[in-house]
Amino acid sequence: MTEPAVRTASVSDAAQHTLLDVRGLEKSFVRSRNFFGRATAHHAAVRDVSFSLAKGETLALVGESGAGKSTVGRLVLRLIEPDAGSVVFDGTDVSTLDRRDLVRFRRRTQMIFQDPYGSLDPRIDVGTSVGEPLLIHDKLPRAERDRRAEELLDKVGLSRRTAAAHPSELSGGQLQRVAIARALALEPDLIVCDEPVAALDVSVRAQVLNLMTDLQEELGLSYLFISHDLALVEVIADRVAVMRQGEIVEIGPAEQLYSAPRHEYTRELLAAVPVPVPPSLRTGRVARA
Amino acid sequence: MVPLVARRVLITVPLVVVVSFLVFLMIDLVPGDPAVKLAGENASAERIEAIREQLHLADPLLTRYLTWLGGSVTGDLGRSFVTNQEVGGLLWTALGATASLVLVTAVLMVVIGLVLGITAAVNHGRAADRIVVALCSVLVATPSFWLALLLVVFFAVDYAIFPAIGFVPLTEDPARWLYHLVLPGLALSARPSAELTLQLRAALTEVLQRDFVTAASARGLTRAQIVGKHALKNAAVPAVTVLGFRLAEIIGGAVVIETVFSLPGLGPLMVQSVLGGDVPVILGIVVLTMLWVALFNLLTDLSYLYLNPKART
Amino acid sequence: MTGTATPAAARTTPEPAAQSHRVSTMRRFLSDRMAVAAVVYLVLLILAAVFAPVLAPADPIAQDLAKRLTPPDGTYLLGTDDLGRDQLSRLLYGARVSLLAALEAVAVGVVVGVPLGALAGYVGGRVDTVIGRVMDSIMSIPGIMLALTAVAVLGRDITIAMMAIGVVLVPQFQRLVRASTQALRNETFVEASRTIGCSRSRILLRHILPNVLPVLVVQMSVMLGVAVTAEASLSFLGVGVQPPAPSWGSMLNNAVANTFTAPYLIYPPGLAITLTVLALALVGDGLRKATSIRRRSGEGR
Ligand SMILES: Nc1ncnc2c1ncn2[C@@H]1O[C@H](COP(=O)(O)OP(=O)(O)OP(=O)(O)O)[C@@H](O)[C@H]1O
Ligand SMILES: [Mg+2]
Repeated sequence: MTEPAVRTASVSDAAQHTLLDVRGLEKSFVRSRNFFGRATAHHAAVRDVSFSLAKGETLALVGESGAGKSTVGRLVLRLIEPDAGSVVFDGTDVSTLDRRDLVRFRRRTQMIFQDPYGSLDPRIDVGTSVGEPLLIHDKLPRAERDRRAEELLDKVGLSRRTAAAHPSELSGGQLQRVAIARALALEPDLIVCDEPVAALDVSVRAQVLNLMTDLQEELGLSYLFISHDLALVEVIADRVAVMRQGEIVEIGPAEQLYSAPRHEYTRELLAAVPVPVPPSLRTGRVARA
Repeated sequence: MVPLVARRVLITVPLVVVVSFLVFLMIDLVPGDPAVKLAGENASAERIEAIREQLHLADPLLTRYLTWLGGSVTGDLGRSFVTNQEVGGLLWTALGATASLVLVTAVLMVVIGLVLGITAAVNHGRAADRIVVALCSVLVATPSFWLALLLVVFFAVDYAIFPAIGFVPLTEDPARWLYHLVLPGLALSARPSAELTLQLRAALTEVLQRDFVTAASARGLTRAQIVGKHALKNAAVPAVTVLGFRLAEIIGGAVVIETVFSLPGLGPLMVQSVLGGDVPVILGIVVLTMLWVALFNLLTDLSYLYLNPKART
Repeated sequence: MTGTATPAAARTTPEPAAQSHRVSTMRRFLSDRMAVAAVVYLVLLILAAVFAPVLAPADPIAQDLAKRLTPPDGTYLLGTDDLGRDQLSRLLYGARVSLLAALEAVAVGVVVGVPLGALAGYVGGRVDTVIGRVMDSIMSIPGIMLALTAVAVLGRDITIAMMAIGVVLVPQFQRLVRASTQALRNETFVEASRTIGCSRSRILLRHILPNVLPVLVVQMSVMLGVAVTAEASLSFLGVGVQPPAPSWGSMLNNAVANTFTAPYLIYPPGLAITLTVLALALVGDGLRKATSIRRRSGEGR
């Protein structure tokens, strides 16, 4: 697998350095069990998946529902254990981390989920949720956490007053901003974004995507951006990996993949994109008024 | 079917072993002389000595337990401390009365449940429906033994229609057998009947709103035909499940009701044995109860399988 | 996918919430008249039980054989039993005994069942299977039988009997908490908690259990009703609360011998039990309806 050049000029030399390297990941789930709880059938969700991600880069993972995209995201963050393969984050094999190191790894990686309504504990106010990572990792006192939470909410374009709200009082777009604020609290290096805008209104999508790209520029974040929406991916991704039935069938720089898809399946996917992406958007930036 | 039977056996056999062993263990662990304790207050010295001997209290715990277990497997459950009768025989006699009561109760449950459940569903949202629901909510909350007392006061004391106590075996006189079981059966069936009614009402109401019922009525079928032919068949699965599980656990409620009506069933036998520290009889009843529950749970599972062919795999 | 976002729109602020989540749950509950009536009844009952020494016109165990089996009149509002004891006083003190006994059983069920349910639901796998088998087994012993056996070997004492009832309630709590934990465990916010580095125990205690609480309270309410009935049954059989202490069940035990001569004795305790069980069920129903909010999903605004 070739390592394509990183696209934009804004990416500096430092960003060329590999943050994440995934080799030969495998994961299957138990499909059925017998009376004694012994597994009797398996289903391979991820098969021999390899890719790497540079600092400051956005790699999109696309594919139809059930292709195994979310499973890859979870494996990368070690939310679930792989059956085989390795995830190397900043030079360290993630599978070897003990409890303490795993906690340190957690502060450098974050995840944003598709369902904004379900991403926050419904019984806890937004400020407390955003400040929770600071409690876990830095043991910051309450007042300090609240202050930082308000700053973070401000950073993602929400009013500081939002901190007192409960999730049920916010809209989907607002909730996704809150989720981003929480993900930023520990200033991570990598954020896995699992369909972060799929549940949002089209008008709100652009705002949230803009926010994400702004933050990437400002903080040098890397994104593993999971999506089934090729039109959207073209706008945000530096490179794209296409998944089908647990396997990556094609991976390459975004322009190349869109202009000259090599794999049959990629061509099928592109053909299914309803509206051709306007060339004006191909610069990788959502146009703003 | 085989897996269901296997499942019940796998649950029941260890349960019987563990619970009966716990009984032996507890007798040992309770501080003080178990024989004195079991004999109860004001027991004579001979009585205490008899218990000590019967329980082989001089032997080690495990020996005692294995002796009992070995006996039970071969059908020998020992003898009562109090009457010196064979436990097996005592249980067999008592089971006759208890089974009679449960049989009458089951029939009443089905009849009451069907009548009230259909009435409520067919009159969905109307007065009859609301009365049935309110009645059932109250019946679910009413302790069966209190209901039994109310029935006795009304039907036996105020109007001597039914007898307040007593039992006549079915083999002796079927009419008087039934006559003596009407009040106990009503008391014991009230609560499960109410549950069954609510269950049937919910299932029937749901089925009656489905498309194929609308289609059937468009074809000119009467309401009664629809309920009889289509709706009940669809509502049968959840109803039979409720019926089965209630009949499994009804053995607990039967204990109290039999005591109220002085029916010579497992209930009074259990209560007497508890009050008299008659361990062999208690153990026998406990084992019998667990087998009863297992049997009815199994029957429920099997009937579910029979009524729901899709589940057969 | 459009690119027309304005900076103003990007900086959305939430509308100040018209009413908070808690307030609306409360409002929903208060709109259920039956549930409110049930709460009022239960509050009065608890007050009656607490203030029984003040409220009771007589000593609940004082016998007055000259006044035995007096039907209700001006002095004895609910009459006297076969030992000449004032029934109203016994009913009030009985509320104490019956409610405390029921609480004991439910406490056992909760203290054992909730952790086992959370463990089985969160850890899953073999642990879940083993705990599940044990719960299946416990469920196939009728509570009354277990309580009778416990009393026979451990001694005739209401606490022992109610502990046995508590054991039978364990699976009721275990199953509920297991199911809710399993459902919650797959919720995105629980996975999100893991990604920010929460430990297992923190996730269980801070994120899962508080969300199980509403259904747990509903279940406790219903199970209190079950325990009240169980206490009454056991005391009625003479193996629960021991004479001369009054409980609703033991009052009925006393009444049954006099059904023919003094039928008035059976009404007050039985009504008290029925109303209490009914009220607990209604409160449970009201809470269930008030707390089960349809989950929002789908479109963002
Ligand atoms: N925890 C799990 N247990 C069992 N099977 C699972 C589990 N998680 C995922 N799967 C299965 O693995 C396969 C891949 O799932 P995954 O969620 O990774 O797909 P996806 O590409 O993210 O799809 P979507 O676009 O629908 O989110 C699916 O068939 C799914 O059913
Ligand atoms: Mg997914």
